[in-house]
Amino acid sequence: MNAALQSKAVPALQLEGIQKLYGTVKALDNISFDLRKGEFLTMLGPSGSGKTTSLRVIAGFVQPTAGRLLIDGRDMTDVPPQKRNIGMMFQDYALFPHMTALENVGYPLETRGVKRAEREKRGMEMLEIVGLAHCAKRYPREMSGGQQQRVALARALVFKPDIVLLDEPMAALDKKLRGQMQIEIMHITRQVGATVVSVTHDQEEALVMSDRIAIFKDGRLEQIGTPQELYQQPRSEFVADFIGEANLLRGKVRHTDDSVVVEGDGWIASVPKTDPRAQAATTANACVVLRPEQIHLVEGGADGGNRGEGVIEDKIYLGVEYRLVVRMNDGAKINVRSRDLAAIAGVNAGDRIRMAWSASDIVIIGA
Amino acid sequence: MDKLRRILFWIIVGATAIFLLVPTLIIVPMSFTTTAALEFPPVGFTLDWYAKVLGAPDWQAALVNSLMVAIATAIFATVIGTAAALALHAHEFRGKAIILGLLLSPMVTPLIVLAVGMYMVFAGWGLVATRLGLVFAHTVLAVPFVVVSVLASAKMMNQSLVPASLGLGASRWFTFRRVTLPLIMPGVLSGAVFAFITSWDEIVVSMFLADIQTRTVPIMIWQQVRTNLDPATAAVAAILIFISATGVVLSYKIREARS
Amino acid sequence: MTVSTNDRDVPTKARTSRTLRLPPAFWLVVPAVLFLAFFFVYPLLKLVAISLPGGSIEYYQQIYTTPVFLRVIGETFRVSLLVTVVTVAIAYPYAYAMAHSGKTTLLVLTMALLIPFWVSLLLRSFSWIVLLQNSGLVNDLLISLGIINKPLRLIRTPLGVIIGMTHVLLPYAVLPLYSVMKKIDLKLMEASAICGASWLKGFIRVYFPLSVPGVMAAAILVFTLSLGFYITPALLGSPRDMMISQMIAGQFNEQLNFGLGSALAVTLMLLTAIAFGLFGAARALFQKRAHLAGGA
Repeated sequence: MNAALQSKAVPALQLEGIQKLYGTVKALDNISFDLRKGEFLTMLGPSGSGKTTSLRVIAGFVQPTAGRLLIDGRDMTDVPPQKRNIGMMFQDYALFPHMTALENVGYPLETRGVKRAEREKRGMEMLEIVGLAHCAKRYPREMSGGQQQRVALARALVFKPDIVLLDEPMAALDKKLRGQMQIEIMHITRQVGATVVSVTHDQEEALVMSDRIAIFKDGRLEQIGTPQELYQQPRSEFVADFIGEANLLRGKVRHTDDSVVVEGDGWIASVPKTDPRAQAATTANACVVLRPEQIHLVEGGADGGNRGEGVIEDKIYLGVEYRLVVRMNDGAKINVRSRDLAAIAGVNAGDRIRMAWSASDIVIIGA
Repeated sequence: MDKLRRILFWIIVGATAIFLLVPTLIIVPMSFTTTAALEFPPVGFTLDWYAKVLGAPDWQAALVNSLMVAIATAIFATVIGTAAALALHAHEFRGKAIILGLLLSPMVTPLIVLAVGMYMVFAGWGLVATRLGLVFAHTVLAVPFVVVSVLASAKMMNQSLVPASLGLGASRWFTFRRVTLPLIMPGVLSGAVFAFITSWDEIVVSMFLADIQTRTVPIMIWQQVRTNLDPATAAVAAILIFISATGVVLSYKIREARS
Repeated sequence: MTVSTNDRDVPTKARTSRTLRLPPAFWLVVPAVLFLAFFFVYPLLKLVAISLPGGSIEYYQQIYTTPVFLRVIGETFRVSLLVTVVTVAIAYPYAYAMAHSGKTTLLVLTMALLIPFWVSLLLRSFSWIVLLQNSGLVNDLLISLGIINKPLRLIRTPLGVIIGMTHVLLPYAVLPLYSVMKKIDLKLMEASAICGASWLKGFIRVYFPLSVPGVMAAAILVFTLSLGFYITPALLGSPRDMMISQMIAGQFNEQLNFGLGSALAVTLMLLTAIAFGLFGAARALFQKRAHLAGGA
């Protein structure tokens, strides 16, 4: 991928200030983002956060109250779904029950005037890509959930759409199949070079499949970025908590000559003043985000601007690591995950421990 | 285009609803007209026609006939229908489908065929021009409704209750009386109401089996309609609608109360 | 007292292993069966017997060779077919509205559908006479709208009969259609749209094919019931275009030709049974297809 060339190209999808009101309820509030060609974006959030509504706006099933939608630079806000050249995979697949897999896949070609012979050929090609060539003549009822899902995907991709939408693609699958299909679908869409917008409430799915993730909350776009950006630099407590596990330590801000300090009862965190993260600590209170694996157990009185103490409530052995539930002095509970079996072996529930972490690991979120 | 389609659609559906309701709804207002012929919209307001109908000896006789036959039908059909439904519900046996088919087939047999057939047979048995004959005939028509209604109720019942009761030492009769019957009562009562209404409204078969003494209200209406169409008929019709409606509301309430 | 934990009691008499084990409660079904045997089946058999005096098929021959009778049978078919087409056509959008609308709309539409059900057929046909007569509401409306100048002759015509029968049979068409349509997921129409199909194409290729089992069920039910109609054609039709049932009544009431009347009745029974058999067969066929085609 030529990044320079990419950034100059017209975005595959642009949402500008999309608003949707249902009566007085703001289902979508000023949603804006761009999507590059070939990118896989997941819209992630709890139910009612607006992610599905956004998807339906992109598809054309919902008319935004305000804002614009552009596909390949063309304004499609008022264009009906039929004419948008978008492929969509529905949550329960919405396969036409009275048509075979091949006929289902050929349907978007049929509506575009492609003749039968050509339709069957291209349909079979698509079914090959998803690994279902042998199911071509079967009806949806005769196929498993995973197979139906692949037919649905094939139908969404067969006509080489500008954008592909996935509505909770894994929701109807059982757990075992999910992990496998997450990777397969990611591969398939990459193979055909599709630009994908997916919706899910499952953060793991988002992390596995996406180039970028857009986090939704209460109709707003909280943060959009790569999985790494969201995990390592969440800009709100909600995002920090939603992606991965997070310990949220809330404390008071104090400025010294050379650093910015956030501290609470029994813990202290600091970054150098010159560090860009110091910008977030402009308010009187702030929240420090620490991932469980970033907290280490230390011996003796640790000095330094990033340490804390607490009492172990639970020590849980998980095979690959230990998880400690630690109660801080102010009663807040945090999680520590450690693979340092030697260090953990020496401590038990009820012990008071000392913890430390690296200044480069912490994230500060202004209150 | 989309909007236009929607509007057209709802116009059609609305027109259909009106088409369905109007003939039913105009009867009652028509019965209040002061004119000698049936008018809609009615002219003026009077209850004279009701008085005429309820005071006329032939209408009164017909009402009595209808009432007696309908009540008897309801009782008879409900008893044998409920028994049959329970038997069908509780047990699997060869020929169950055939028996169920038999019990339901009066519903799909053309009434005129039933009418003439019954006439020929009842004539030989001396049942023509008797209320008893009417009861038998109406019961044939009513039994399917009772069976369907009770079966539906029985299906909704928790199927482990009867075995549980028997397992606790209760006799079959006791179980029926204290467990099964209360639970299927909505279906039984509903069925009884349907049986009543079926008999109450029945015209085709009754026409062949009744004479002047035993004629029912529908027969009177039929004769009136063909000879002399006046608001009195509308008054009778309104009364009948009122009774039918009451019956249906009753059966609905029974369902609600017990479910 | 011994207690059985299941409903099947073993009969006390010794039986061979092939015998049906009939639990006592089974006998509850006997009264109804016997009753229907005497008062329902026997009358029908009696008709067959009367129609075949000494085994002779003369009455049937008479029916199938006399133009009048053939005309009546033909007329019955014609009217039934027309009524079926009209009724199902009107029922389709109505059932669609019921199947895919909100609770309130469904309630309203259901009430509108079922309230007429509760009013006897006789009264409704009577109502139509009042509505369709020369001084009736329909003509008044048409004249006031300027569509016609003089009243249209609507009663005592085939048109009147069709209107009356359609009115009565509409619920019988709507209900099977509704029960099938309810199961059709409108998401399929969305899927069709996003695949690029216009509404019309989606309807023709997706929705309608899935609704066909309902259409078949409604059509055959309405047709079957139409064949045997008596009251409505008698009240709203003219003697010239009578249907089989009226002919049967006439043979019994006026002509006192019980043999011929019975033969006609048996004919009607057979036609109804055949139509109904088609209903069952069509249903089974589409049931199979529907199994194949069951929603995802």
